[in-house]
Amino acid sequence: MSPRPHTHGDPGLPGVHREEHRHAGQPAHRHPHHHRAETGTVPHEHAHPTSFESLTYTVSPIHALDARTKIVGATVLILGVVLTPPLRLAEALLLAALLAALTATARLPVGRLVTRSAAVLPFAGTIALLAPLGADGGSWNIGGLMSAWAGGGLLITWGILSKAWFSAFCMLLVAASTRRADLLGALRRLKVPEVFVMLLSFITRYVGVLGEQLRSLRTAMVSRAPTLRGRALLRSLGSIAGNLFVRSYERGERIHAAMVSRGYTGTLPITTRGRLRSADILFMAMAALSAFAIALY
Amino acid sequence: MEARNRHGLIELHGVTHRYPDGTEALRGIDLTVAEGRSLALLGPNGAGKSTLLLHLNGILRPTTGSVRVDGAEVTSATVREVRRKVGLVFQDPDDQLFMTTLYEDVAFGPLNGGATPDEVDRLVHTALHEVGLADAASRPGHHLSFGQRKRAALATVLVMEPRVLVLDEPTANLDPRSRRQMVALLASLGTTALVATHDMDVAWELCTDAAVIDDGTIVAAGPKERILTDAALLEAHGLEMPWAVRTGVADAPATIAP
Repeated sequence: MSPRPHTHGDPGLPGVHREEHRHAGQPAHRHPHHHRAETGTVPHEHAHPTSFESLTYTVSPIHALDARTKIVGATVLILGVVLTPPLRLAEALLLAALLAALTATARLPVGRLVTRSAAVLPFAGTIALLAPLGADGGSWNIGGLMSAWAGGGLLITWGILSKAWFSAFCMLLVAASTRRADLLGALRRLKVPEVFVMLLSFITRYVGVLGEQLRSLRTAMVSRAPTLRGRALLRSLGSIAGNLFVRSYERGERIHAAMVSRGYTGTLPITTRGRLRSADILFMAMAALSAFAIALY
Repeated sequence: MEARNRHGLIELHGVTHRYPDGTEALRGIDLTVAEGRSLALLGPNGAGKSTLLLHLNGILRPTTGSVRVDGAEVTSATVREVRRKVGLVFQDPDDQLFMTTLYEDVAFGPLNGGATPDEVDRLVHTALHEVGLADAASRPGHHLSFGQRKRAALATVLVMEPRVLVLDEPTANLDPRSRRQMVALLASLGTTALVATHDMDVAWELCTDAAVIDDGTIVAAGPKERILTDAALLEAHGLEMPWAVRTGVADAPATIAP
């Protein structure tokens, strides 16, 4: 994947300042640094060209929108899609065009988003495949899929699959165009229950740490027993899982100790600020209009 | 012990700690960290160092004995005040950097302490400059290198302007350059400190006093010039003399203490 365009701290934007300052015994100097996570003002030092998270550092009009706008917009659009009867061709094309336009504006790689959002299909597919068998008095066997009266049922299958995929793509657009901290801050400001946001915040922070531990445990296992198969392999994987659980539990205790040491009393303090601008209002209005158009057409 | 003649910022008297499973981690600890001194807490793995550190800001309470910070005994009533005075930096920075960005991590303490947003901005600014990470404020913890994370963990505590800094293995797992940076940074702080470490050179370079802990008891404590040059003592407790002492480079550089 080619590196995405990154900003390197635009001095004209809020949150970054180039004020002169002085350290003890040293001449005055100036350099850009900023104090608060604010969309679009990230002085980016290193590229991470492979991780999905790196997409959130791209600079685009969509990335610059307030995270709340994107969450609300995507939710409204998804509601519109879900509440409509199975999508007709025109509707599907309109929706696809809309999502393609958003992806292009956000300078995100379409292929990558398509493959990633397709992950929802196996789950939706299970339900979708069963639908025609029961619809319109259909029969619960393979013949039911082929018969003449299965047409209505297959329409339901298309409905479920397309809606699931469109919804997943919408959410993915939000996830790929919003930095994690902004996303969590926005959920908190949208009054999502604190426990839920805290859970998400710890998952984003520690999923990498856990992955690292899992990798090193697996490496250690493979280097001692390269030919492990069958039951023995399963048993080893079981003890790896147990090991990981105990380590995570202990880490949880240490993190809690670190939080308590710094005055934690039960709620994470909020630091995200930022206002909705006219672009945000416009975006939400467009999302709502598109949702109505699709739901009512 | 020389330090005991002065006012003890941290004082432990007969502290024992028994874990729920019956393990006796501390068996009667007497220890004092005087204002303006820096104490190296030395001991082999499993000697009780970490258990001891967790007593200093009331995360663990002694089974018997007492812990006093700035004259006040650590109880449920005083524990919040104690935690403001004692800044505890954990060994694994991943335990200390639990928020989504470095800014949020450093701001965590001051915000919990009720500082206003502008005040928090100023404090975070100063703390991040102090550890040389001002340009990394909006980066997530997992995007920093290990050396940077160690310094970031220090910033999350420095920002609270503690009276005494308690460091658990500040140089563990660092490469030589990051280790040098960390030692220089700590030496520049000028604060009362307690440093638990295996790194005898760090103890020699940064501290004014040293205490050896083994099997839950303090076996020796005093000025580092006495403790860290006692080869027999150190050997008996699984430690060794600092490189500078072994090679006869006797003049110790600047310490953390002012």
